[in-house]
Amino acid sequence: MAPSVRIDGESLLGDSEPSSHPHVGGTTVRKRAAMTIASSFGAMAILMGVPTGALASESPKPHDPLNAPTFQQQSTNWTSAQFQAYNAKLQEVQDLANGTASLGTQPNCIGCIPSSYYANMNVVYEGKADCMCGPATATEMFSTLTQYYNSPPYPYLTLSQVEAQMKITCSIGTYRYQLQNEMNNGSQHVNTYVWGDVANASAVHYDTSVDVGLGQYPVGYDGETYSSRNGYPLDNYQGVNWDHYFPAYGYSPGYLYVADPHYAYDHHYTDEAVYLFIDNFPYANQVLW
Amino acid sequence: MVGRTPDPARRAVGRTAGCLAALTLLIIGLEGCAEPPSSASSTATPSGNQPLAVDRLDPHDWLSLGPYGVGNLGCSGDEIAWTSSTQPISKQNNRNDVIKVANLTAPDPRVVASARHGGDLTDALRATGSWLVYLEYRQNGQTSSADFWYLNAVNWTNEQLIGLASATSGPALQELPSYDAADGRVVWNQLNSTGESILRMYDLGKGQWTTLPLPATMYPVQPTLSANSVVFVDNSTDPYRAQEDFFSRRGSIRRFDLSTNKITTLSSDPSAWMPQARGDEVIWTAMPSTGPSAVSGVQLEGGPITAFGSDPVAPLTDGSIVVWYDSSDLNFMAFGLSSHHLVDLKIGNWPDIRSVFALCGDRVFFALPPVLDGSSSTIRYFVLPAGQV
Repeated sequence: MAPSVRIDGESLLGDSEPSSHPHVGGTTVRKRAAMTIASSFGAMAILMGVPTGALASESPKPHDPLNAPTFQQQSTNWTSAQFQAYNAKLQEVQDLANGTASLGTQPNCIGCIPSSYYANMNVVYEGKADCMCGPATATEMFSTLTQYYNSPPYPYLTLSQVEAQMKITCSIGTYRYQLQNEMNNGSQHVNTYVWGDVANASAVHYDTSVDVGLGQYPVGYDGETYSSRNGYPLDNYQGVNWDHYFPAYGYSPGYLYVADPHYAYDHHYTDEAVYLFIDNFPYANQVLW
Repeated sequence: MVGRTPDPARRAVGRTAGCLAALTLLIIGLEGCAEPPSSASSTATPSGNQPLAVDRLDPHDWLSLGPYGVGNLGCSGDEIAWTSSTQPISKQNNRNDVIKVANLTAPDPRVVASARHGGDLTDALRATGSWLVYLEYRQNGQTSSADFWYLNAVNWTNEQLIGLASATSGPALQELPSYDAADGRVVWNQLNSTGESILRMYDLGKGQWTTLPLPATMYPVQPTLSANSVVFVDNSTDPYRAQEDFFSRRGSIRRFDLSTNKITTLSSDPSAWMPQARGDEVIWTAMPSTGPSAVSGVQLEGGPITAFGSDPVAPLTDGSIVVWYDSSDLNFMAFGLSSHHLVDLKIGNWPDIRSVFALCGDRVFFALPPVLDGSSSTIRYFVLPAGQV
């Protein structure tokens, strides 16, 4: 079953499926770009042959400016350059679907997304003295962008620098909008990050493979380690119910490779496990890509 | 499209090492390549040199709960306990707020404990005799600390409640306790008022609390009990300990003899995590910084360390058998400590048996999450194949 996307009230691939990417409104350019990604997502999901994922939540999960912002809420303060970078990525996705892409991360995979790819990432512990995983996740993601694009410029941002930039309040934690703002804070210019809605495990894998495989852009996941519906999807978080962030630096068929600031070494989960982790969170299911 | 790499020397070294750069104290480089990292695949490697046997077992439905989740399972004798919610799974913000108990042969569930502080009862259930030990806590925002935690013991025959330990302010909120109950005692770790990790014990028969006299140089966590021994992870040996929080604390395996106060080291490898001691055996998950995790074990008296298999989730033992969920194989595995037989347990027709589970005599009780079980919960069990393991 190919996932479908509803954009501006218009269903592209079907009427019954929830949105799997950010709602895009406003200019024609942005709408076309979003339609692009919708159709290519469907194509890619079929081509990749990945599982369609678990059942989504039984009741609609809300968007929220803090915990699950809509595309409009996220893009309010974007510069024209950030819109340009975002649309350029969507164009690449469309080119991939059309077979006209000319970009790629591998010499043997020009114009395609490799089936497996592992980008560079410096793993940063959240640490006992630090209060949350959001800034550690941003620090890890920045390290990849610095290595490949020098954006933010070398030397690598440190955890304390990122915490200061994010103006973190330890007693509250990290909201999704904060992580997205930090990733787009002006010191990196290659990828305009968005929390995009995902409807199933295939969508999580797809968003990850597009960013990591095509652009070496790490992605971020926000979820919860337990819910009554999904249980404990992450093998190393049994018996604990915890909100958490971690980034992905790689993927292979059916798997996503993450650098968890709690465990601070490489680990891989199935696409399904990451999706259920995201789905455990009571707000709309999203990936920062 | 590959951009400039600011530190090419470091990157080259990492690639030579096989796509995963060596660990540094604070930062690990994960190097980009199209080959899987070393942890991408793993194979169960029993040290008993036995080929992997496969046993297909039929599950038995024990109790249907309808659209309510099961947070954890525990058992003692013929009593099965589980955490659940008063709200159905369709409620996005539901939490485990009750603990229920039912008899194995006549399952008539009754609530024996509830969340009294608005917290979550998701954590482990440990049972000894007719006592059930559980933790109520609430995460502080999205941080790795808690707003509060309460460690309690409840007697399911008369609902007598004992507050074993709690924290509502101060350093103790930085780490949730890890705890075990066996042979009429409860043991747990917690941070004291100066932020040092200590092991506390409560004797349910005598009604006495004690603090184990451990050297100040040790950082004891994840304690477990068997007879007169408390086995724990000494996180002070982990080179990465300064950056770890309580989820990920690993270390060497130490044994404290309650009769002599003598401490011995059962495994000096600093990658041990979440041990369990039962009978004469200690098992744990070895979590190296790179590569797959393994379920390992050693005799309580010490000796050679045995690796039973890889990618374990929540391994449990009763001293004669080890059972775990293999996160690569997606099945339960069982290893006989006498026979040294490793058996891949195929239960029913589920492609993935990922469940909460409890080892109860010769049975393993398990509950799949509703997402894998038709949007409802059923507690089931299977009987371990005595002849195989």
